[in-house]
Amino acid sequence: MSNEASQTSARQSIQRQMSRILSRALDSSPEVVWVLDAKRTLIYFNRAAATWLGVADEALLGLRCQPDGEHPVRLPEVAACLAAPADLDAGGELVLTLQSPTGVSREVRFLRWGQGAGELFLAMGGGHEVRPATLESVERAHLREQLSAWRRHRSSWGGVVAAGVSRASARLRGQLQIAAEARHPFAIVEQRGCGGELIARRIHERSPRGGESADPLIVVDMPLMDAELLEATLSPGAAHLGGDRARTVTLLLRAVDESPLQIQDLVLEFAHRVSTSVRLIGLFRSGVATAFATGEVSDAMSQVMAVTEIKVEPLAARPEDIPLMAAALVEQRRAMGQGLAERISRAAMDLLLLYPWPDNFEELDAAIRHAVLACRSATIVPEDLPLAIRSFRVRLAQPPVPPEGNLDEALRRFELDKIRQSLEVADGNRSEAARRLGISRARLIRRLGESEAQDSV
Amino acid sequence: MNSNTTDDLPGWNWHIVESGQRWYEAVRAAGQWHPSPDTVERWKLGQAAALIDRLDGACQACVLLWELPADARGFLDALAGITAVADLRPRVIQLAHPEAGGWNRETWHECGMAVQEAGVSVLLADLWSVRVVARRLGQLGRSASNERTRYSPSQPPITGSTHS
Repeated sequence: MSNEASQTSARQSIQRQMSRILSRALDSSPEVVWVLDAKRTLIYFNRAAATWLGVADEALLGLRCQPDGEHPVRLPEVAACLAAPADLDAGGELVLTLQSPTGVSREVRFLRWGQGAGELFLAMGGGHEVRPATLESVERAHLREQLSAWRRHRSSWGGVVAAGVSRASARLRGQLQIAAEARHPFAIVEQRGCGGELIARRIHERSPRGGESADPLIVVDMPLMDAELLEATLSPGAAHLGGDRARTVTLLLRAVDESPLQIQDLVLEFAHRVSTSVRLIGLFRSGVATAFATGEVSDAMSQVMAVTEIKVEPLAARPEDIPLMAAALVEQRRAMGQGLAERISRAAMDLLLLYPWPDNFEELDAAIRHAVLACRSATIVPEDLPLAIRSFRVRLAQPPVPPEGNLDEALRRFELDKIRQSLEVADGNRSEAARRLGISRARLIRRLGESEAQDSV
Repeated sequence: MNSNTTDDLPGWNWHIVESGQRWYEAVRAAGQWHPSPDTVERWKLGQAAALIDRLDGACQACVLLWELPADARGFLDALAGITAVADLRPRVIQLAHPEAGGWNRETWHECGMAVQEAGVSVLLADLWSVRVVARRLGQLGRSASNERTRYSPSQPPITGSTHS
């Protein structure tokens, strides 16, 4: 690209950025602003103007707003309202009180700029009363009450995720207790639907500064962020802290290892800026070290998050917890006044134990909700369960295949099948597949290599 | 939302809760910026219960966008809707933006934080920012992670519809 072309491109880029910034500044103004071109065609108007006019904004651009009343049939009242006054001289200005089609009056200042085809008519509101939203004390109390009830509700759900008699659930409860007492950052590693966010809310609720106190928990969907969205999303938290060291905020970062590295670093920058006032809880699909090794987590984020890692095991790895969890979910639903169910029959529980739960806790929760609503007595029976669960059968009916070849060969094939299945589940991610199988990545790669070598022979 | 769609990318179902049509139009327009075969529906705040019923029966990956009303009663209703959705489908992505012109900064910060606690995970900066979210969703193809097992029949997708 030539020097001149690159300069033109840079200029255009700056112009685009400037127009976007200006458009945003005008759009966020509570004052109405609109612009007509030389032909009195509407070429810009801001959000406040759309609200004042009471119309969908996209429909208005290109509308001819003639002062002599020759408006198109479409939106004649709006066009009349936006029209620049006929007696406005070039370079002059006029202040008028206009009434919108919705009957709201505003004082508007008209300016006429430029000449010929480049002439513009700028209209700006001003000098009128703006209606800012305020929360009265009764409403604030209602808001706090609503939020407190919600926090308790979600926290109790997190308690169900950690319920059970397995070693995994006991370890989870222990980690949960430690994390609640400490304020340092930690990572929650979970497969799809394991309830990691509920665990995070449980920890927050039980921490000294959570619960009914003033430490808010802000959820951030990391993969959807760019720098501006992140700033907008964190702005209420930043305003809450406001330089007051006594105040704190907890950030719950969703899907950290699916987010851009730049966003991860910006979040850390925000946290460092306000020092110890921010606690970070990150949700990860795989362990922090694995995510760092595969380049999904930045160096800084991995250092911060690798200190404490809480792993929520999938239901398939802790089937002995299912009866207690299912019973607790029925109890929760009953406490919420949903359905008549109080218990689960043995036959229904057997079906729950057989089912593999690919969507983990969330699927169990949805199944119990379905059963509670379908149940017509105090006991949930198999017929109340979702079809997917009551029709699930473990594949044992196939006759055993007679072994072929020697034992080593059979073991090799079995191992290779397992590796391929795990790779499929992990979307080809070798580190993740190895982690799921409980073997090293090197061993997995070696086995695959051996298999390819044998196949090629 | 966008008629020039591709079948190989997962689709998102956008549900917009607002009094006017600004965000509805903005999301529809965002379809021109990425090739994801999404659908978009508009709801009024008073229809939140019907929206939640719709989500209960749907299998699709959903994004909810709330334009938060500036009056206290309306805001509390929206907050109740947000928490109900978060209870029902915890992995639905919820976005929010303050209603234009009605909020002062201090009140918005207080209320914005409240909806974030309730499950809103993105506070939108302006209409432009919807394009960023739409593009990111298209790139990520995260519909699989957003879906949740449903046990009731799914609703057929409706492209660009409004509920009045």
